[in-house]
Amino acid sequence: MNQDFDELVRDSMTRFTDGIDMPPALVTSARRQRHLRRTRIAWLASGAAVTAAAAVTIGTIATGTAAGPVGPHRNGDHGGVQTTAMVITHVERALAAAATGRPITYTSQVNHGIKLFLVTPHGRPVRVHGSVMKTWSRGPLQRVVITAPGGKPALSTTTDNSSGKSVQTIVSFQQRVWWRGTYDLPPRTKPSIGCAVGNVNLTPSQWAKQVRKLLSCGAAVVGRQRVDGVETIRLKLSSSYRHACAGASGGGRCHPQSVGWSGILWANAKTYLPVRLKSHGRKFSFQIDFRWLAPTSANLAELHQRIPAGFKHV
Amino acid sequence: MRDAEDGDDLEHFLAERGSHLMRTAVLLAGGRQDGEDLMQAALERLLRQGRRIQGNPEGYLRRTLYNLAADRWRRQERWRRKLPVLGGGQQSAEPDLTAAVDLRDALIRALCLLPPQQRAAVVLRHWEQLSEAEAADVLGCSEGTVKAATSRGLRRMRELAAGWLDIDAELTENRT
Repeated sequence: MNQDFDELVRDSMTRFTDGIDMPPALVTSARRQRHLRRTRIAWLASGAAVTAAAAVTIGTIATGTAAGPVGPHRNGDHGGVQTTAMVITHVERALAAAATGRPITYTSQVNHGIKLFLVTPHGRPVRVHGSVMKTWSRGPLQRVVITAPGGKPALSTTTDNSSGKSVQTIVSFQQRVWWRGTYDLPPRTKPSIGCAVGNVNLTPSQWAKQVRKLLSCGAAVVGRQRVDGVETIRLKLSSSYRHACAGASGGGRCHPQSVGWSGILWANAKTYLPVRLKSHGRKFSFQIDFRWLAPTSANLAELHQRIPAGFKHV
Repeated sequence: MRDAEDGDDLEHFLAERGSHLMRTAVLLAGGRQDGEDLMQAALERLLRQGRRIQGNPEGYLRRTLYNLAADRWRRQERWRRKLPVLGGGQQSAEPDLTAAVDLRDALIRALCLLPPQQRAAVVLRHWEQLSEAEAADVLGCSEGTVKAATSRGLRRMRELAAGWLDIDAELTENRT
């Protein structure tokens, strides 16, 4: 009987796998994946993290070559003559100065055509339905809140890396549950900051670096505009970069190809700190509002997620 | 060796052994899509190691498949109870008894419910037809462990399948 059973197991496995062959594109995919892995941030923070992946080609990009000269474009709008180079210098200095004051950096990001996932350390990414992502960050503390289309919070993740471990607190407002886990800190990885925004999953300080990089790749002052009651200088960002695997989806080898990227940056006309960054492709768009908040007790409280009464610990 | 030559060697190796390893990956992962993901991840590691692998890469690739599959099972197990609360729960391996399930289907489903080491041991011994010593080498354990894991795995599969079907009757039917 055991012999029969062993044979049956073997036969079951043979039938289950009958006709399965290695897909021809698998090696190409593995090669491409290996390349992409080198150039992306896999994790926003240690352990559980909210990340974003575009449904289309916003994915990951190789570090590009700078394109689009930063010439002395004149701002012909009211507000005086300001060369692009001067504005860029001011913005870069403002970002560097803001970082030294240890403010709470806050970003509010509205995405369209970009899927958000909760990346867990012990499982597959889980899709989170929401288009607005708000992030508060200061040193080892970070809180991310995903807002559902109706405007209510859907999910909050709080990360505290101050103890040498990563303590994650996740609250699901839709399911009215929360849990906390402690994880080893992952090895530090540098985000791929290139001449295009290839990853919208950046911390506020990484966004500051990304803005600096974008300015260095190609920018021109195009005027002034009021944004949320703030007088801003409007800069057109445009660059091109070499996409290592453009057009390789058919299973062929990677073909480096020059790809363009463009966006608009609004910088505060007084402080020169970025106020808003916007970009859109054929099937996706994102808009990020930046704020540098003083570390008042009210603002510091935003770094922590209070567990709402009645929520179940799972 | 130059990259192009490395690439050609890999293409030749996969042309010969790729399908067999792909089927192993499907059995370990419990499905075709997951099997392809597993195989791709193993190939990615193989490409990363590149020239450091001496000789035939099959041993390395097979060992990587088992290690990655085991890592995946452990991760899934820890998060399995968390995922449903986010609405992204994974499909259960429990058989759908409303569907017509024959014995072979039931055995594959039972295989997917085994703990990592038992599943790997059953696949290595009964699908790959490796000896206990060879299986022990792939899994990095003793022959005794392989023997025990295979035996327990088969017993568990039998118990699970018997809970869903009249297995002895099916075996009798298969013999006739």
